[in-house]
Amino acid sequence: MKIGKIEEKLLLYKIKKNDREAFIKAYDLYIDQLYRFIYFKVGSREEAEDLCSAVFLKTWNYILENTLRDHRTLKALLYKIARNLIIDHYRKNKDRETVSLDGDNGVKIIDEKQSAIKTMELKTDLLVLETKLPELKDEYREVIILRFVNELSIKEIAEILDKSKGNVRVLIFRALKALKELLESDEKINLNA
Amino acid sequence: MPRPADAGLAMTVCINMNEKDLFKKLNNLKTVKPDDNFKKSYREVLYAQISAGATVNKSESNLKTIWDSVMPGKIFMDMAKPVWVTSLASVLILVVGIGGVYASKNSKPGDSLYIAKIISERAQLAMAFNEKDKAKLGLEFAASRAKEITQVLGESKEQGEEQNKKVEQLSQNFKKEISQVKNRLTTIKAAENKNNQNKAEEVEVFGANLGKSDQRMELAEPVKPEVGGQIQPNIEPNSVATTTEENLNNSDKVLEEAEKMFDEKNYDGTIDKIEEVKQIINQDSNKGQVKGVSETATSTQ
Repeated sequence: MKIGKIEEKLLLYKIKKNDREAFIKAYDLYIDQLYRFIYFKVGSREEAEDLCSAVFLKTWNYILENTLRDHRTLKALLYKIARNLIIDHYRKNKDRETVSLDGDNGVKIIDEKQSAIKTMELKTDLLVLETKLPELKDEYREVIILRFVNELSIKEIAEILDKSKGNVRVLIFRALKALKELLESDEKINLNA
Repeated sequence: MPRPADAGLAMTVCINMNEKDLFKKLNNLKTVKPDDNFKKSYREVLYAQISAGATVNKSESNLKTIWDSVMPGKIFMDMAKPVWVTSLASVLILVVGIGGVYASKNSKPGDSLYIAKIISERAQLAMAFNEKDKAKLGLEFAASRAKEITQVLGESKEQGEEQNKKVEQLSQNFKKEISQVKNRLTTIKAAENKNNQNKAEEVEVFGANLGKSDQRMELAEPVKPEVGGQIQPNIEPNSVATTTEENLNNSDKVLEEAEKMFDEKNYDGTIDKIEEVKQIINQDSNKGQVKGVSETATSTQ
């Protein structure tokens, strides 16, 4: 579900006025991308769901406390809260060594009408990426998901990460390069094998 | 064997293809979505959670939201206050002023609005820049004084000394106005005479030029050659001047008659005579305007 800029501003304004219906609408709009963002960062379906619910509740509390003045977009606020919660989550689970994705259970292929070959291709691609993404540096993975999966603009990413647009562009370039290198090395190993 | 440049191109194409492919693959990750059941159930939980703590706020229409965001209530009120107060005050002053002037038109000495009438008369006089207009206004005011005297005399309430005092005051004012009008008429007359003299001088210069043409002065170009064929209009200003002077003399005479009638306490007759003077001045100014138009028409030819 996509939303226009003006529509988003209206939604934010309504939420600032403690409009519950508007907040639920925002939940419907952003739950998918937020879940995706969290899922690729924590690597577990259950944890992603828990964190997702925590993000929305915390955002609502922010609004109630009237601390929403500085934020221009609701999307940026949601992502920022999500990032903070993920950091807290990492701190609590220090013992865990690596981030592992759930594999097949974590991915749900939505379009069931797709042909079997295409579905297979998609599954393979997803599997490759899902296994390679956790190998990337945290900030690279984050920026790749935001830009190429959730399709956020450079400006939005800059706002979420508290960085300048130029910094974000450089980060994206480096992240892509790193991902490509990972995939290429993987291909080489496969070919040698 | 491919040249190095071709190899580079092929590599770039390959990289681009790879990048495109990579973007496509990354985009496919969009299929990662939360479970529908989780979405649905948590939606209800979230609604219950936010309803529990918050005060009930009704959902607003988009138009109202836009209006509120563009014009927040307090700012709007703050902005509106001085504007409204100033505009209301100015409208009030305008209405009271205009109403007062209209109401004071038929007032006589002793009325509370009489002072407003006098002030408006002074203002009118100050706004008139033409001597003729000023003279006309002076006549109007003098007629107004005469009318006021009839009103004061017609009032049965006031008798004796009070009435006499007012009449005397009004008579003095009347005479003052008339003398001012006379002064203005003499100034107008003087100005007209000066104009006529100037015109006559222009004609003389032109004549001298024509006279010298016999003595081989034709080498020098005539000052205004286009006027050469139009000797006739030179006579016209003189005739107009004479009529203007006559009119002004007439108005003087009629004004004196009006004064006489005023001394005889024939106030209605005085008002009629003043109207006559006004008409004479009007006729005179109309002629002047026509003459002015014809002059500009000939000069542009």
